[in-house]
Amino acid sequence: MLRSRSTLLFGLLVCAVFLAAGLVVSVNFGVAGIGVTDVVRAFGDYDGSRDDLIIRTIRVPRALAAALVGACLAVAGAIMQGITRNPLADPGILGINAGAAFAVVTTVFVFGGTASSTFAPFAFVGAAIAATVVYGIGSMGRGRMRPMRLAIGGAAVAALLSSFTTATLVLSEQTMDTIRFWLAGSVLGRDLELLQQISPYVLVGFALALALSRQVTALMLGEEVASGLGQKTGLTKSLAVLSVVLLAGSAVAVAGPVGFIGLVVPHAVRFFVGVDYRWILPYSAIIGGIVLLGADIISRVVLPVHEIPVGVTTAVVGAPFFIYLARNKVSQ
Amino acid sequence: MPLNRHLLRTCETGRSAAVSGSLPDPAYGGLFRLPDKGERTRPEWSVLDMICRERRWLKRGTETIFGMILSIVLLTACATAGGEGGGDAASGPTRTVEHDMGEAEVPTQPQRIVALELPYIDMLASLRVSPVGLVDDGDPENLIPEVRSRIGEWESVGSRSEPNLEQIAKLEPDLIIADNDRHAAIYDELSAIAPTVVFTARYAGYEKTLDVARQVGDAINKTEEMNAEIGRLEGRLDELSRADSEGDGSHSLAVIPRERGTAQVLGEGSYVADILDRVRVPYAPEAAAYPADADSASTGLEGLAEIDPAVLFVMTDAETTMKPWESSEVWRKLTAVENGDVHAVSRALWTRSRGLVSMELIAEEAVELFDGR
Repeated sequence: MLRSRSTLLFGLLVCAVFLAAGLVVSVNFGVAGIGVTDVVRAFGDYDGSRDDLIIRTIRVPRALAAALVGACLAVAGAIMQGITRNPLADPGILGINAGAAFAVVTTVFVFGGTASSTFAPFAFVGAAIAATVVYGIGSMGRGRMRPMRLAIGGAAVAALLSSFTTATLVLSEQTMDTIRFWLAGSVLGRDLELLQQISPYVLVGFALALALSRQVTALMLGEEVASGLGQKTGLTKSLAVLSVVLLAGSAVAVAGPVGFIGLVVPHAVRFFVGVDYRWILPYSAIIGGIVLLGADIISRVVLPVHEIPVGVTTAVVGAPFFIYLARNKVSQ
Repeated sequence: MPLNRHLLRTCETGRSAAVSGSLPDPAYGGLFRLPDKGERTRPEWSVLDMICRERRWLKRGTETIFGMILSIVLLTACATAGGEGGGDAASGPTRTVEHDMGEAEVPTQPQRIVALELPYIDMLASLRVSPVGLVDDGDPENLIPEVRSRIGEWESVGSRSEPNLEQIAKLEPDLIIADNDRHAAIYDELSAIAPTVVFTARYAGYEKTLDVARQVGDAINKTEEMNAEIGRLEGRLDELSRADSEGDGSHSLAVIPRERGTAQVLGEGSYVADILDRVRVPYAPEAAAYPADADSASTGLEGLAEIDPAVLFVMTDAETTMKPWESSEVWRKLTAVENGDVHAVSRALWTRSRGLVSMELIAEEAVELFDGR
C-alpha cells in the first residue's frame, strides 16, 4: 500500500486542518452557554469578562490537553506495536498506565489531594519505573528480547501494580474520592501550567520517535531484517521504549489512564498510509489528537450538564475495535 | 464419568481451535505461528495437554475438590453453630427485626452494638446509645465532635469499606448494623458473628434518612424513643426554617472539590439539598440536572460559573480543599467569591454523618450562613 510522497503529504495537511477544526469546535462546546461570537471576542477583543475567562483559562487548555494526550498515546501505541510486533500492543501493555496510576495514587495517599499539581512528575516516574521493570523482564534469560516475553511481562507487571493501586484505595477512601475522575481518564479542568510542565518531555518523546521511525519500520518487518540492515536492534528498542515512556507517561500524567487511543489510531493510520513509520508517526499524532478531541466533545454532549470522563467514551468506542482486532488480526 | 468426557471434549475442541488460529501472519513477523519441531509449545497448551492426557489427575482433582467443599461446609456449620451458641447475650429473649436483607433474631435489649456506617453511629448517638465497636476509617476525626461526645469510648473495627471481621468478633457484639451498599457481600460472615441488620443509609435523602432512623430505632427496640427524637428534630427544623424561601432570588449550592479544580455538584434531591430545602434555604434550580444519589458525576469551574450561586457551601476536610480553585480567574469572578459568600463546611458533618444529630447541625449552619450573606 505504497502511496506517493505528495499524496501522503497532502493527506497530512488535510488531517492537520481537521485537527484545527476540532480544536475550534471543542472550544465552542461547554456547559456555559457561550456563543461563537463570544469565542471570537475572547480572542479578538479580550475584556476579562467571565465568558472570556472561561474560554481562555478553561476551554482552550482543555482542548489543547485533549489533542496533546491523544497525539502522545497514538504515537506511543504505534511505536509499541512496531517494536513488539504485536497488533494488540498499547501503552497499557508495557504496564505504563498501571505504573503511572500507582505512582499518582501513592502520591495522593501520602501527600493528600492538595498535592494535585504535582501529579505530573510522579506519574511520569511511575511510568518509567514500570517500563524499565517490564523491559528488564523482557530481556532476561537467554537470547534476545522476545516480543511475547515483553508483552507477558507487561501484563504481569500491570496486574501487580493495579492490585497495589486497589489496595491503596481500599486503605483510604479519601484518596479514592480525590482521584476518582483521574482514574477513569479525564481532561476536565486541566490548565496551561500543567501542559507547560509536561511539554519538554513530550517534545523529546516526539523527536526521539520520529528519529527512530526508519529503524522501527525495519523492526516491524522482523528482527532478522533489521539486523541484516546493520541495525543495532537492542539500542533501537531501548530508545523506542524511552520515547514510549516519555510520551505515554506524560499523557497519563495529564489525563489519567485513557485507554484504546494507542491501540486503535495506529491501526487506522496503517490502513491508509501503509507500513512506513516515517508517515505512520506524524499521521498517528494528528489523528490521535483529533480522536481524543472528538471523544472529549462527545463526553460533554451525551449528558449536557455533568461530564463523563473521556476515558469512558474512548473505551466504549475502542472496546469493539479491540474485539475485532483480537478476532481477525490475531487469529487469521 | 460424563463430566470428565465433557471436559475432555472441550479440551480437544479448544485445542484444535488454538492450533487452527495460529497460522503465520506475515505482517507481524510470524509471532502467531505454529511451533517448530522441537520447540517448546506455549504454556497454555501444555496445561491443556496435561488436562487432556492425565484424566486420572482430573479424577483425583475432582475428589480433592469434593473433599475440600465438604470440609468447608462442615467448618462453616460448626462456626455458625458456635456463633449462635456462644455469647451470653444471645441466650436471652429475642425478637424478629425486618431489614433490607430479610429478617434477624435480635436480642430484645441489645447491649453490645457494632455499627458499620457513619449514619448508623449518628442515629444511635441521637438516642445516646453507645456502640461498642464502630468504623472510623482509622481516624476518630471522621466522626463529628457532637457524635463523639455523645457515645464516649469506642473500639475501632476498621474502615467502612473493609471492616475487620476478626475485630468485630472479638468484641462479642449482640447486634451488628451494616449497610446494604457496602456490606451486602459479607452479610453471611457478619451474621455468623452476631445477628446482623442491614439498612440503606448511603445516598438517602432527608425523608429516607428519617425512615432509616426509624428502622434503626426498631432494631434496638427503641421505636418510641426514636419517634420522639424525630419529632423533636422536625420541630427544631420548623423553628429554624426561614420564613421566606423566595426573597431576592438568591440561591445556594453545595459542592465537593475534586481533583484538579473539578467539582462535584450535589444534585437536587441529594441529602444536603434536601435538608436545605427543608429549612427553606433556596437551592440552585440548575442542580436538578445533577444526580442526587451518586458521586461519580463531576463538573469543572465552567459548570460552577454557569450556575453562579449567591452562596456556595464547599464540603472540605484536611485533604479536600478549595486551594486548587483559588488561582483560577474564573473562580475569582464567581458572585459568591466576590461577595465573600463561599463557606468551607465540614465534609464529615455535611456529607458523611447523615443522621439526626448532623441534620440539625447542618440546618443550623446553613440558615445562619445563608442569612448572613
